[in-house]
Amino acid sequence: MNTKKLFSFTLGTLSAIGGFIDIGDLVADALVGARYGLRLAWVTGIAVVGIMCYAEMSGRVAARTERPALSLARGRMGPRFALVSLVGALLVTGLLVMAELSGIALALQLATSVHYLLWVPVAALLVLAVVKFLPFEMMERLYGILGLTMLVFVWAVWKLHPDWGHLWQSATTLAPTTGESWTAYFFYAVVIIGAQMTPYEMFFFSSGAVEHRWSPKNLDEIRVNVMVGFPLGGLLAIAIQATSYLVFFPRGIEVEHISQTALPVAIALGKVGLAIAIVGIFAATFGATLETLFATGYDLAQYFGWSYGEVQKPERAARFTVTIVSVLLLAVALALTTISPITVTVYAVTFSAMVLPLSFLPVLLVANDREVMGDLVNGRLSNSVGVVILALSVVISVSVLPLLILSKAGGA
Amino acid sequence: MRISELLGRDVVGPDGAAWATVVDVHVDAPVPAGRGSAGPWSVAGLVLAPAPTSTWTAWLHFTGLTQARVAGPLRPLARGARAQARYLAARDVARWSGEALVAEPVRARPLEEVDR
Amino acid sequence: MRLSVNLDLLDHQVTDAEKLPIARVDDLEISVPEDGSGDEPLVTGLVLGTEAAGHRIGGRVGAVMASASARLRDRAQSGPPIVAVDRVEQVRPFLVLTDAFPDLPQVARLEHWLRRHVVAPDRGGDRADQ
Repeated sequence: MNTKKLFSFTLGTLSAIGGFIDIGDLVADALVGARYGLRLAWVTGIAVVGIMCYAEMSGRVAARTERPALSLARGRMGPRFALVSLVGALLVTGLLVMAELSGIALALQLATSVHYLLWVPVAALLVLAVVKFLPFEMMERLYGILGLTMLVFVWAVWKLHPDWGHLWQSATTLAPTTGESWTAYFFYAVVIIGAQMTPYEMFFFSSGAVEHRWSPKNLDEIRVNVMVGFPLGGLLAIAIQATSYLVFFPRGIEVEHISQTALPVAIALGKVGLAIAIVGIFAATFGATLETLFATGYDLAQYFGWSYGEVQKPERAARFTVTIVSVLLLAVALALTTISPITVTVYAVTFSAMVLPLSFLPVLLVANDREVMGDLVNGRLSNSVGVVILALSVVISVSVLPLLILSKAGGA
Repeated sequence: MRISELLGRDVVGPDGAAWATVVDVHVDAPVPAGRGSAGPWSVAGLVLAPAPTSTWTAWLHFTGLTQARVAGPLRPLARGARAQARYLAARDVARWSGEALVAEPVRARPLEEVDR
Repeated sequence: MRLSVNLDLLDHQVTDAEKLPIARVDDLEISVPEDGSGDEPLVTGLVLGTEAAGHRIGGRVGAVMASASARLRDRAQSGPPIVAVDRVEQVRPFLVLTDAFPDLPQVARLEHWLRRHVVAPDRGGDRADQ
């Protein structure tokens, strides 16, 4: 079998990692598992379906037009709306670069007990080295595959000998646990979907499709990536919720720190499991840092029409290169102010939820334009799911701030 | 003149009454044509929405939902705007200079006739 | 080919002859016929400068964008760079020009400047600057 084909699902996996098991999700999933069990697993289900639909759509558009998703925004919605979308996207991905970079540092802290702030500049240098020396495809493969070590969480669930009926019941109860308010429940639902169905996954995936120079001949590859990567991401997210549920919920422990995410694995599988989990968390946050860093550069480059990308040598994409390096430096500076990466992630996820519809709309419009897409125009499935997700994103967008306030950021 | 000055411009009749707003412009371009295009690009016509035009209607035109080439589940939103839209051939514009374009309303045809 | 300004031209990606993205169509320059002549206006050029986009966005934000971009302009020019339409080779799915980027020094001046001074200074910049 052609090894290239074997590894060709890694773009999907890497995109999914940044969306489903980045630092925000690692903490959110552990927190939600400890508090609600699997009662919010349905949200992950919706996020997986939503992002699969739009990633496939934007990948297909990229194959036909050789242009990635955010690039379409300005052409379809005009410079003013697209500017709002850009500012939102930059805030989200810019803040997330800082959070994910801190995540790498936290993983290193877990492994070495050296304080994470000391690791932040080291992590930044590592990221810079990878960006400079590793070609896009190799980078994608490396992190796409290393991220699979997060499957250790699935193994941990197994090893904790759960009552499967109990887990199923939790997953199918769409209501908060006794003593918890509905507003907090829905607030966390919005946080989870904001953290998992983030537009930058779609932007990264379609930009990657353009970097790969995928054409209509590669439709199968696009679909394999989407169908393998994102459901896998969802599975890993639910596994984290489950381990947290099984270990923390019965003891009434609340999750506040990333080290608690790995604790259930240590309990289930001992030191070996913990080591694998740390490797997984390192790979996931490293992959997410790369993804959000590139996404920030892509966002700006695509709004203004600049050349961009890993595939182009820095001399051919000077504005993009300068953007990437500047964002990384700013992220280090922000991290060194000792602001909590979790706080930053909550803000980033909230912004993301607020501008969600503006990211999906242009993709849905272009994918339906017969003159642009030709025979690759949207079919009924893409359109049905697409419009439902778009409507949902509008609901999420308007409800995130009220829920944040009413639930006192989940405290109520 | 810039095209951005043409978009959103009012169209008045010979009597001076505004009857439409320009929401899109159709251009005839001889591309692709190998190395450099073979001739000039001409403005073929204007897509008009009846005056006064709301921001929502203008936006619907902008996204292409009022044109036949964009299909999909959001089309019903633009059905009304498409039905009311008109197409005016560039040749039928009497005056281009000045604050508003001057053309006779009777010269404009329903957009649906021109754009299938 | 019949094009729609909204759907095919305005705000669309422009690349050079090697398909390297360089800018967006921020506006179009048109020539207006004599009143009553019955002639059609001609689209004469693509305006490729964020300055023009800033004017279209309007308000305080647009004004800031426009003035920032205007600062990068070649001092000899009185407005944002305009590329004549006869230098356009392709329109769909994005616009392709007949020239390579180094031969377009007046377009995307920030990119030219950064290449010369920041990203690859020892390579002596683009041909067009020599």
